[in-house]
Amino acid sequence: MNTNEELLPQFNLFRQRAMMVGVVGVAALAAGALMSEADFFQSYLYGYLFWMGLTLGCLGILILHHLVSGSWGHVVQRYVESGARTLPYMALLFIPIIIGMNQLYPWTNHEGLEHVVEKKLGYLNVPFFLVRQVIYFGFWSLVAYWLSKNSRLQDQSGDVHLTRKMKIFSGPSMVFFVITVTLASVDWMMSLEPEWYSTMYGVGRIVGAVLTALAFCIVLVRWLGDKKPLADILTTRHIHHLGNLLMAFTVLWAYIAFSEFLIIWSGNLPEDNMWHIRRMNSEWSVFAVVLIVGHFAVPFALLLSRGLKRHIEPLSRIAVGVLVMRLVDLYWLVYPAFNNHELHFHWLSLAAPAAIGGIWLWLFIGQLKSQPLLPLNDPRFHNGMAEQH
Amino acid sequence: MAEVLSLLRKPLVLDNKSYADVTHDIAKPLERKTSTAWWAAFIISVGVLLIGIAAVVYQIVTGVGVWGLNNTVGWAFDITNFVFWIGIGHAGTLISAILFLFRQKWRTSVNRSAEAMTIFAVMCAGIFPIIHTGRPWFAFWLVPYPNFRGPLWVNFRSPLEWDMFAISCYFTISLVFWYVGLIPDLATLRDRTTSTIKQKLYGFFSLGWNGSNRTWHRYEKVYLLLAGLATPLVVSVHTIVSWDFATSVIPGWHTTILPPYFVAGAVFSGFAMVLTLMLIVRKVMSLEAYITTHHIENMCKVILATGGIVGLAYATELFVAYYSANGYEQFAFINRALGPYGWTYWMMVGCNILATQFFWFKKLRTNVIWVFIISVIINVGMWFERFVIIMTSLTRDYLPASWASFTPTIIDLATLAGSFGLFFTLFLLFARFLPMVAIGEVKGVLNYGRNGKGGHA
Repeated sequence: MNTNEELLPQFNLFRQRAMMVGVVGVAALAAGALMSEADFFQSYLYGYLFWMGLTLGCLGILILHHLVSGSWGHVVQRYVESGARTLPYMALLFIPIIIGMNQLYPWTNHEGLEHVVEKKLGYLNVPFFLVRQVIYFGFWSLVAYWLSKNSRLQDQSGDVHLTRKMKIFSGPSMVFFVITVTLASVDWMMSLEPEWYSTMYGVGRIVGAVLTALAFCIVLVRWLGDKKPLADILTTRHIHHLGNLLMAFTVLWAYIAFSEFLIIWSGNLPEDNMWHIRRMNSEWSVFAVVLIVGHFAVPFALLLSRGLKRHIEPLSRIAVGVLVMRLVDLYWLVYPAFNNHELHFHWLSLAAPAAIGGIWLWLFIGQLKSQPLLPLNDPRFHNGMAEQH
Repeated sequence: MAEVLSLLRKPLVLDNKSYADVTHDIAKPLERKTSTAWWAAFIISVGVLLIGIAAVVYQIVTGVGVWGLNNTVGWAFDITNFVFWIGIGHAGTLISAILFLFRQKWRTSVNRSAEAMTIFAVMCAGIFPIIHTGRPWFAFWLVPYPNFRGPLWVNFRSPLEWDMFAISCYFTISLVFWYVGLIPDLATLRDRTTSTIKQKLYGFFSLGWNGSNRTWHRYEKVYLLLAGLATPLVVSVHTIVSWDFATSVIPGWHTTILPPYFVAGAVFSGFAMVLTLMLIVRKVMSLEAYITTHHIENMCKVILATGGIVGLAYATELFVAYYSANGYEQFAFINRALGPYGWTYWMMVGCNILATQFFWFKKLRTNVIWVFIISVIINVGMWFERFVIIMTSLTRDYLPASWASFTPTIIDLATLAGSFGLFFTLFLLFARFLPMVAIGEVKGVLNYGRNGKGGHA
């Protein structure tokens, strides 16, 4: 049985550092909270959404992998399992957002609401919001733990039927995953501006989450790909597949963002154009330009090259760029809700992603080191590997 | 491990066929005498086509008033049919280009027919916007070029104009892609035929193919490049079709999820049409060893996945209509389900969402009769989807004073029937004169899932 003994010292060292970043970050957040409550909650939400996006992206890739079972999936399966297994802890980290709800979500205060928002209070109210969060986190954690538990059982037994079982489980899970993440994106982000609505919104957030997780996995393959056990099986084709997926999701992200913009711009109705006006007819338009160039044009142009997609070194650099752009995108999605016209930067918006990131990575590596890095007894794994050679 | 591997890698071609068998099985129906069944089907199709031609000629001579549309309902059957046929075409490109890029080997048995279906469906689709203009002899005005009509330019900001670019590009590349794929097989037919005329024709269109290493090498390069080009085009076409609706301000049309929802719906309906056709073809032309239950099952899975996306899009629209707290938006969806055309909405939900759920079960996915019935139901459902979107929003817009209704005239129905006549006429001609299955490509996957003796690996 393959364990990660050779990697353990590295994992432990990384965990220590992540914890240090987390502790320092939390201290900074606490200090920031004393100085400006509003900035604290806004930054916390921002940082949380980035890491939660990564977590949900991991869960999405995990479900997708069990459905389609491509050979690239086996390479990253344990990464996305470990990422998804942080979900119960992410539920705990959601508590500060609940505490700060009154400052973040205008619909929690019933006075001075616009008439149109008053009509939404059947959905946007605190008790129902909390019930939904319980359902989301419960469902997501269940899927993550059930799939990873069975995969670990298969590590021991090599039972083929577990593969079928997980595949059958993943079909309906995918349907409920899309429904819950769509609704969660409305709850967490869209309702920051409760008068606005767009049917594409959830799709865009799901694609963004999966893109974040893909880029994260590529960075991990860069780190662990030249070490056992991954080094034994990793081929250029796996890297090429991951590169193609990164490109596909980069294009999909741009497709969705542009379509949403074009439709709203073209209709130019007062009930749904204010979201883009806030973000594009203001100082925030700088972000829009940065996103077009950095989140789409540059990675797209680079990823067209077959050579870059087939070598983990350049591919992982592009992936790091994508991760940075994910942070920029999220900033542009969240902050204009609080600051309509002026650009707004607070040092807390750096501290929050760092603090939550430190904790998340500490949890993540903890999950990762507790199991073999490859699903060695998955029958499709050997089959997929055989096809490579 | 033997049991495990056969579970995972099923052979794509059954009955232990040899290379010679493949050529023989696929070329044979083209070389024998035309069957009575073919003639019967052909005569019926041409008959229906002629009815359609008569209806279109009558409409052009008289004016679009012979249709049931009116001032309020300016888009009706014609645009419904247009979107329906364009959607049908998408499965062909998905199978031939996108599954090729994903290295899905099972595509080889069905790609040729699916691509042919794409081309014929796009031809059917293209007719409708052109006759919808009322004066089809001015259709070339859609093409922007320096002219003496003012000069009069097209509206570059209109998605209707982008349609013109997207569809003509899409048609061109689909045709080229299909033709390039045909070249090796045309050469095979050239070498087999005993008729001089056929030899000349197949010889001419096979462009001097000699089957050398170098020709194959170049062929595969071109094929890959065309697949890469076709992929963004196929997404662009239905995206732009969705923009025709979404960039307007009509409640029920002006919704941001429309592009991915339309693309998924197009693939969904296209796969249903591929299944309808291929289930007949494999029976009539005895291609069961090539188009196996494995292929059918895979296509059912694609239908289940894209049908799921369509269902989630319906649900998202309903939820956001509620969440928007926008009276017009909410009315559009209440009117869809409960208004005068409510029955068409429930047709759409029943055929597209409920019927598709049967494909969760392997037993039903591998039952040919059952799959055939559901594929036809989905075709009907997807026609109704476009009808629902167009009709419910147009008949009940912002201004109650302009509310109207639409009833199709006999000319509307004859034109729709005629498009099916055209589609089946072309498809039957294709089945008679060109190989339905890509001979060269199937040979490439012949050993997939087999061991040295031809059995399961």
